[in-house]
Amino acid sequence: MTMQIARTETPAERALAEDFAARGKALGHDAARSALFERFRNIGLPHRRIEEWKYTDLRMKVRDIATPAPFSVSTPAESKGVRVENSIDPIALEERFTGFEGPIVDLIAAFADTGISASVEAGATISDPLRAVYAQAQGKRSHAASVYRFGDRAQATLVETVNAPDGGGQSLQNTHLHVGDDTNITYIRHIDVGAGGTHLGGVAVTLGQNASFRMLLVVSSGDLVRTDIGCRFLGSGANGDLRGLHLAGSSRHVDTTLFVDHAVPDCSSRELFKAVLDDEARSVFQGKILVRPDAQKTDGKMMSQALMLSDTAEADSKPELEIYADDVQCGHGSTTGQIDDTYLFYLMARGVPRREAQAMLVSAFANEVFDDFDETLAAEFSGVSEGWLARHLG
Amino acid sequence: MLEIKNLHVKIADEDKMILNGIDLIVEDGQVAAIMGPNGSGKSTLSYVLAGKGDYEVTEGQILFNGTDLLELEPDERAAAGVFLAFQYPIEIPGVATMTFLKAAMNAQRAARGEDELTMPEFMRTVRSAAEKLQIDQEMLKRPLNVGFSGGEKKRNEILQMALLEPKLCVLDETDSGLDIDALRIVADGVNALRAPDRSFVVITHYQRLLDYIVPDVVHILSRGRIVKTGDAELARQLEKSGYAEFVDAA
Ligand SMILES: Nc1ncnc2c1ncn2[C@@H]1O[C@H](COP(=O)(O)OP(=O)(O)OP(=O)(O)O)[C@@H](O)[C@H]1O
Ligand SMILES: [Mg+2]
Repeated sequence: MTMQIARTETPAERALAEDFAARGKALGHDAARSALFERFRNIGLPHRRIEEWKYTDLRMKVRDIATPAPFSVSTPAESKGVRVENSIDPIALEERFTGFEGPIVDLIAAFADTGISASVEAGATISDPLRAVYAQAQGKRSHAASVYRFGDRAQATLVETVNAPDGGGQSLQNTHLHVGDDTNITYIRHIDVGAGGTHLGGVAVTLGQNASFRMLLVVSSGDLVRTDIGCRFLGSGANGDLRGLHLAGSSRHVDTTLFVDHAVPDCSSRELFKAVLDDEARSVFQGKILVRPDAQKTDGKMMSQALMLSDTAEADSKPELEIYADDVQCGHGSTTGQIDDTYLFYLMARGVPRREAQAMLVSAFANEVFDDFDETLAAEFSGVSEGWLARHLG
Repeated sequence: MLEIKNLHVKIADEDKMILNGIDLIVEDGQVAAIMGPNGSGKSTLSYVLAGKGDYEVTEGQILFNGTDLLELEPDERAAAGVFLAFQYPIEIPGVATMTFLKAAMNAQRAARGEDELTMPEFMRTVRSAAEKLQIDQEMLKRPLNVGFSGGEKKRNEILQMALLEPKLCVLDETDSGLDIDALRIVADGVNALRAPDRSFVVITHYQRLLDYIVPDVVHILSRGRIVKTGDAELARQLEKSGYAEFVDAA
C-alpha cells in the first residue's frame, strides 16, 4: 500500500500551475511538456525533507512567482566546425539521468521557451571560447534549456553566463553537455543574477572515453542561487576536474550540489569548491561521488573550503562517498576558516594597507580555482572575483 | 631615532608578562645589537615594534622620531620607516612574491608622496637588488616564501629591506640558518644600507654576525629587561663566558 501524503500547494506552486495552464500549449512539444509539468507538480517545490534540498528549502524561500519573459539569448558564433541553433533541442526536454533529475530540472524544461542547441564537429579545435549569455529582463521569470554536443577529439571552451539586473528576477537555466571520446573541453558557468535575483539550474555532463573535461562555476551575485551539477563518466580513462567559487555577502544563499557518477573503470575526478562569505551569507556545498561496481581504479578527490569574512556567515558542507568497487582511491575534505592573522600581519608589516592585504589574501584563497586554466580566462574570472572583493572590502 | 621607555608587555588574553620595563635608546645611524638567552623576549620586543596584535603593552612608551609608535597600525609603522626582518619568515601560499613586493614598494612610495613605480622600473629595481643578494630570479616567481629554504627566506627578508629603504631596521636572528657565504652576502647588504639617518637593531646569538656588522652598542636582554649595555667588546666577552653572570644579575 502506498500512502499518499496530502500536500497543500503553495501560492507559488499554484501560480506556476496557472501559468502552465495558460501558456503550456503555446510553447510547443505539448505532450513532453505536460508530462514534465505533471512530474514537477507531483513533488512541487523541493523542501528540506528531501535530502538533496536539506539546506535550501524552496518551498519556504520561493514565495512569489514573477511574470514570465523569455531570456534574451546571445548564442555562440558559428564557425568552421561549430553549428549553433537558437532553439530548444527536444533532448533537453526528454533526457534525464541519475543525479540530474527532479522537480527543478522538470520545471525548467516544462517552461523553457529559449535554449541553445549546438555542436562541435569531431576532430575540431576551436580556439576562441564559445560564449553564450542568457540575459534576463529585470524582475521577470525566464526558463532556458540548452544542449551542446562535442564530437570525438574536439577541443573547445564554452563560457555560459546567466545574468540579470538587480531587482528580484527568477532565472532558470539548465545545460546538457555531451562530451565525446578523446576530447579536451573546458566549461565555465557564471551566475550573476543581481541583488534580489533567484537562479535555479545547472549542468549535466556525460564524458566519453579518455575525455578530459574541466569546469568552473562562478557565482558572483544573486540572493538565492542553487546549482546542480551532474557529471557522469561513460567511457573509461576520462578525467573530470570540477571547480566552483561562491562569492556571497549580505544574506545571500548559494548552494551547489554535485553528483559525480563513476560508472566505468579508470577515471579520475577532482572537485574543488570554494566560498568567500561576508555578512550573513550562507554557502552550501553538497557533493556526492558514486563509484559503481564496474568502476575499478576510480580516483576521486573532493574538497570544499570556505573563507569567512564575518562571524555571521555560514558554510555547510556535505560530502558523500558511495563506493561499490573495491580497488578505488577516493577521499574528501572540507575546511572553514578566516583570514590568517599571521599572514595579514606580515603583509602589513611591509606597509601593505589592511584592506589591500586582506584583498591579496582573499584572492590567494579564491584564485586557486583558476590554477592551470587558460591565462586569459583565468584573468577574466579572477577579475570577477576581485571586482566582488573590491565592493565588499572597499 | 627610537626611544623605548619602561616598556611592559604581556600576551594579550593571558596574564603572562614577557617584557618587564625595557628602557632603550637607539640613536640615528647607530647599530645596536641585542643579545640574550632563549625566551628572554627579544622577538617579542621586535614584534611589539612592528605592531603585532598578540601582545598588550601594559605600561611604557615607544617613540619613533618623536611619534608614538604604539598608536600606529603595522602598515603605518612600515610607512613611517620601521622594518622587521622576521626570525621565522612565513610562507604565504597564493600570494605571488612579485605582486607582494610591488604592493609593498608602492605603499611605501605612496606614504612618501611619490608616484607608483612603472612596471619596467619595478622589475629593474628588484632585479638589481636580488642580484646583489645572489637571489635567483626564478625564486621570485614563486608564491611568497613558499618552498624557500631557511636561508632563502632570510635572504628574501633582506631583499625586502633593501627595496623598502626603511629608517629603522630590526633584524631578528637574520644570521641563523644562513650558510657562511650567505652570512657574508647578507652582512654586506646590511652594511651597504648603513647611513647617518638609518639605524639598526640587530638581534643575534652569535659573534660571527657582529664581526661583519660591527655594532656601536650591545644590549643584553634577560627576562624582559635590559640587564647590561656595553660596546662591541661585550659581545665578544659573552661568546666566551655565556650569559650566566648577567642573567644572575637580573
Ligand atoms: N604568543 C605567545 N604566546 C605565549 N607565549 C609567548 C608568545 N610569544 C612569546 N611567548 C613567550 O614569551 C617568551 C619570550 O619569547 P621570545 O620569542 O620573545 O623570546 P626570544 O628572546 O626571541 O627567544 P629566542 O632566542 O629563542 O628567539 C617565551 O617564553 C615565549 O614562550
Ligand atoms: Mg626570538
